[in-house]
Amino acid sequence: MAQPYASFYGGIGTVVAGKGVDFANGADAFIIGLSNTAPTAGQAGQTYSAANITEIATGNGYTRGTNIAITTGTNTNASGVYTWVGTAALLTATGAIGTFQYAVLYDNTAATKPLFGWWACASAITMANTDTFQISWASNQILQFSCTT
Amino acid sequence: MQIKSIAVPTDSQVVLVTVDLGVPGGAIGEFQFTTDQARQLGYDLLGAAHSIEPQYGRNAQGGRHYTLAADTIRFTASGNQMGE
Repeated sequence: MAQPYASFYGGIGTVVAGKGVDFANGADAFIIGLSNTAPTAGQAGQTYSAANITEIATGNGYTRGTNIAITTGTNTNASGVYTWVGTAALLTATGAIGTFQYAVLYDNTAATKPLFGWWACASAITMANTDTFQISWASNQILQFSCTT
Repeated sequence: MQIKSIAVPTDSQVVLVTVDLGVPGGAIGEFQFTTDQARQLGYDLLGAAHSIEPQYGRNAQGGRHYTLAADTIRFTASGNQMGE
């Protein structure tokens, strides 16, 4: 089922409140790992490992722990809304990659590499040589903290 | 102009569409689509809800270009007042 909306891992409240992640411009490095297994918010493993996200294998242009890198832009903070701005690298296949359906966001800099959340593609994807995969957000706005009245 | 027939010849990777051009003399036109093109056309016409294939376009190298338009993660505190 199509799910462009983000889903969260259950541990992110603790991570955010405990300074376990830094979204400031370029502070932490974030990566999106690919999986064909639907994550669950309350799963036992709340930190990154290939096993904890059932990550697809390295090969043919995809490397665990490296792909898909997020490049943080210039974050904004106005009228009570803080926005983490960034773009995801284009994944280019040099052979078969996948099958995957889930894009899992994690902090690759923090000591514990906390898992943050995930998005689901409309259906599973199997990439072939020369295929490309691009994740994007409207206006490159990956995350927002806001206080509304 | 009306579609006369749509056929996928045996062992073929194309979809053959025959169209009555609606002109005197009964002239017809024939159009060939690859199955990928036909699939993409169906997707474009019917929308994602009717497609069983992942949405993709074509990149400059001719490969499939898959996209995931992800929603912004939003942490929202509501019912509170922003300070003056």
